[in-house]
Amino acid sequence: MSRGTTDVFMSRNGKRMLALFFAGFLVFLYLPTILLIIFSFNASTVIAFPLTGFTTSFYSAAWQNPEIKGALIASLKVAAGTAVVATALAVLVSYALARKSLRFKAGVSALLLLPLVVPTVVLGVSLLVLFRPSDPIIPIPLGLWAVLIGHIVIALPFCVLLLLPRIASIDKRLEEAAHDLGASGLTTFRRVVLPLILPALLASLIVAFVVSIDEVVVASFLVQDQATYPVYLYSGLRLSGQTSLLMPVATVMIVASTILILAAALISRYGERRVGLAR
Amino acid sequence: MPAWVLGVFFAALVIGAVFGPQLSERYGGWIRTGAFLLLLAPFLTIPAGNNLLRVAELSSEGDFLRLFFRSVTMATTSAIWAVIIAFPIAYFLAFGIKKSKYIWLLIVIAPFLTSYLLRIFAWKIILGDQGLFNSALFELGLRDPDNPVSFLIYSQFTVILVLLYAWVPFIILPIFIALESVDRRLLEAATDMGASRLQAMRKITLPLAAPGIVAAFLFVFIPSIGEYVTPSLVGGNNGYMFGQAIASQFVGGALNWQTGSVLSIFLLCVVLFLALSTSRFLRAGGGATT
Repeated sequence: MSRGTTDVFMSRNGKRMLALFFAGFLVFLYLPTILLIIFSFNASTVIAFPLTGFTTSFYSAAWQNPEIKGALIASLKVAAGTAVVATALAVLVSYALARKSLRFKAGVSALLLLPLVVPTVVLGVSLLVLFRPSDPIIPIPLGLWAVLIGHIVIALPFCVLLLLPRIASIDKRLEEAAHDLGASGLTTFRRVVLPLILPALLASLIVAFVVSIDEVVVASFLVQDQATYPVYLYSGLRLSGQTSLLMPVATVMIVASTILILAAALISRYGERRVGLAR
Repeated sequence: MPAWVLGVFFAALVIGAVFGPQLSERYGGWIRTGAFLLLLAPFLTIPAGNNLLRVAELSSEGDFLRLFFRSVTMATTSAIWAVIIAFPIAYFLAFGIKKSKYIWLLIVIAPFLTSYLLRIFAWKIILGDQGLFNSALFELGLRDPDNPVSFLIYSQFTVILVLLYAWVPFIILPIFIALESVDRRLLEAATDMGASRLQAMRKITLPLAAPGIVAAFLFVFIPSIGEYVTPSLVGGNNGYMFGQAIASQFVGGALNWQTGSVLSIFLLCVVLFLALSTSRFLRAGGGATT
């Protein structure tokens, strides 16, 4: 800071204290996760310092465990389905909300965002009631399909929040111009709108995927014999005995979702710039 | 009363609650509030002996209403502490850091976006019966391996700790955005006129950032009331929460779907009421997060 301008927000000492607090917070934030990752490579089933040696044996054991592998595959399937369906629905809804004049627009968007505030445990049990095996109200058997439906409900608001601002920010005249030049509605959407929202679309796919692959509450009510990855982890943690097989599972998940989220952040920032150019 | 009459009644109330303000500019707020009070009425009607929550009550789990208030207390505690921790962080990020502010912001927020379950797991590694803390105690001979300090992992304290850990990174964002939009010239004017930094902060920065702070509080408070995963993994008996009571009616020991449904609808009404009546703040904070 140059001489003469005083910092109106904090004194020098205040800044030092805040910086210290900030550093302490970062430790609080990252230390538990880092410890988890470290102990997943530690050659002992006992969680204690000093470390006894480096091993990847827990990783190979977890990889060879059919239960873990099955849960992983189940989760990937459900997450991929959620990403595609939730994003597709979100595009349709956002387009309607941004372009068409609807009655009760605010009410509709409130309903759309509702799953954000509905407690997941309530969502889980209500889907369980809906799909209950004896006398189902909607005849979908419990299991991964039911989990998929639950996850679409949870992911949809996130996708809409990502897509709606992008679609609304597209200059209407671009579409009108395309229309005047003889493009059909579908062609206009494919050639004009889609390229402009592509980054937001990718971000939405990724976010829906991550939401689904991390979701445990709704899934735990709806799974039958095939658990998803988080449900497997959850029941393992509840039984609380051996954690050595769970730690590699957790580490892989942390690394994967961190990478995906960073990718989504980068893509959607890039998208903002692009839409900015198109205006 | 046939079930469908009840269904239509409830549907009308929900529609009134959600669409109230749009149906009528002038009385919208009243329609909404009235609809919600009516929705909550069956649960809380006096005389207490007859209301739905009492009917749903089970001796093994005690009073559901008391359990509910315990959850509310825990959610309040978490939300207040979360704001107290998040505010200085957001303040430092907004005003203390000049270079690559947004990278730091991302570093702080990123953990929120990775799995919730894993963050609970990470605390179990530290505080669990066989965790780091206890093994250190065994090592030092302060505690017998058969007798670990288990209040560390199964208690109300741990539930609140984990909730804080989970939510603080997220609510830094709305506070940060509120602080960023504070016009720096106002503060310069205040200092020029002789106000101390503390006065300027109290009279200018805090009031201007208030909507963001309120949004931050609600972002923690509302989801924490119905929290289920955290207390069932680290809560133990004394951290037992309302969300678990609901789950136990469906898949756990109690197994009474009717009771569970009553409890769910009650929780849903409370949460919706909170969210809709504070939607002004939520939108301010939520709009900022997109």
